[in-house]
Amino acid sequence: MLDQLLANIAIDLKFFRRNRLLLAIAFVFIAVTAIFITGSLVWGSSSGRFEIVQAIFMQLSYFTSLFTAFLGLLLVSTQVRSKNIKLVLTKPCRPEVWLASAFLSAIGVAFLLHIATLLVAIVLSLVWGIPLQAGFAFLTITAFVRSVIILGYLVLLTMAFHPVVAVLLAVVFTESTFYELRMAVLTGIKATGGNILLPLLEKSSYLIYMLLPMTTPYEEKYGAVTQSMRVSGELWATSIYSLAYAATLTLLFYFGSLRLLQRKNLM
Amino acid sequence: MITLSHVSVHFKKFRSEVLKALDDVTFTVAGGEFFALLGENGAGKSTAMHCMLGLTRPTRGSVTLFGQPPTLGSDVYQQIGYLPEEPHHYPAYLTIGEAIDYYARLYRHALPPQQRAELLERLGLAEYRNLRIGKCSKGMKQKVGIAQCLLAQPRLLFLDEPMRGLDPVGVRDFREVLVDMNRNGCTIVMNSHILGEVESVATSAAILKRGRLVIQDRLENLTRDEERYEVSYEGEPLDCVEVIARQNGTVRAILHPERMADFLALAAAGSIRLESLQRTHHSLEDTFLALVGEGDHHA
Repeated sequence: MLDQLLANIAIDLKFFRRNRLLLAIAFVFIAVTAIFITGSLVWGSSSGRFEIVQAIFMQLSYFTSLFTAFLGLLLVSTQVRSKNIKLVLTKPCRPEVWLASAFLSAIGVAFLLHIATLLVAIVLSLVWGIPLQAGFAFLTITAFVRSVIILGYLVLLTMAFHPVVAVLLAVVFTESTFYELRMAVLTGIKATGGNILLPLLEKSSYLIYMLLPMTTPYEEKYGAVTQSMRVSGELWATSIYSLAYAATLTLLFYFGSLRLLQRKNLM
Repeated sequence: MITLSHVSVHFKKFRSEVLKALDDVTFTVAGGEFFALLGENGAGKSTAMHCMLGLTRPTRGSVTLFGQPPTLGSDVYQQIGYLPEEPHHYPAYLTIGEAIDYYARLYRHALPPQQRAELLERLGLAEYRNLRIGKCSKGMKQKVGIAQCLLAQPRLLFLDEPMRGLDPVGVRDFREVLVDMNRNGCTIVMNSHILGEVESVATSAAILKRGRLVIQDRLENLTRDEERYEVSYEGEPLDCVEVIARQNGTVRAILHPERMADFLALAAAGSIRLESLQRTHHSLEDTFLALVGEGDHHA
């Protein structure tokens, strides 16, 4: 089973490396970042170098989070929709193994890209003589957690829907959408003094809000880190909880996707 | 080896409309058979094969493979090879060599690298080992499919339109491989539209029509030499024959055995000049058209 898992991971990594769409998106990201760095080097003052490193890191981290979130969706939807999977599952390779390899390879690539982003920040800090800040590592963990959660969520959705629909659902069905909806409804209830439908809407939006995954756990505590890049001991603990939350959600997404895959008609 | 028992596969088209891809189909494939699934387009051949492989779950009925329900990826598949109908099922981003090595790793007891190289050589793929599948022709993709389904020396082979895209030499070579494998005990289940090809290799066949099983029998029962003759002679139409065609003084006709003596007497007397006389053969195509209905096509 391990050999099959490794064989599938090796093939998945080749898929990522040779996929023209991914390469094109990566090229655009790198080009935009390169232009930004060049601009900062030419016009930025030496006293503002910390802000430059910070801005470059935040931009790269944002791009990487977006980019890596789609890896799983692209891999799984391509294999399932082109029916490549028929040839895999009609060999002694269980769907569990194939799906695990898809999750592991996508998460592995996400991890490496986030590490690369962190390395850029470290190298620039060393080159410009800026003291290394723990905030870069902390925000890398946060961005990685966000990537992993969205990645798993998109894989689950793409098992049930067309990839485009999956993306649209992931964009619409976010916890913040339903949080804001609930707040609006609560305001409405206060203003109108109650209505039969509004409490029902409030309850259902709250239920959906509770069910949907948080993409950035403990988000309210991170604001100061993005400014100062300093991290307290208490915050490090939250990053460990975030990783545990992401791992739990990934397992749920994995088993949910597996169930949908097993029920899928692969004709 | 394979049993389909009252298998129905229904797909919902609209709210109440249901497409019956298979409707109460029951048949068995015994070990060592070269079994052909025949039918028009949309008759349910591929659906039946997908059910046998576990890729589609029947709406009703049951399927067993080696005595157990087909569970995708289970150990049973160690003994199974599958060649799909569509050539785009192979990962286009891999080279031929990478794809074959990948599929070999999925089998626990696949051919060792040396024999894999020989297999590619035999299929004429060795020199294209480093070519991406996405850049291969249809025929080459089909050969990749053939190579991957032979990797584990299967005991049971599923072939969905296996000759599609192959050139005449490729067809002949693959036919020889299949016949050889079947002689060595491999059970083969094949979907095909090429009835002549099926007749030359299959030992039994099932004919499907609009999702229902019309007949399943040994091939010798579906084809036979008939007790009548087709004759061709120069001369006038005779009372002892049923004329099929007449052109430039040559008559083609059916001769029944009870009128054979009269016909030969006339030939011996020189009233006609006999060109040919042969026993008529009821081919698989004749059986197929008689059962499925000539001109009754539903694409």
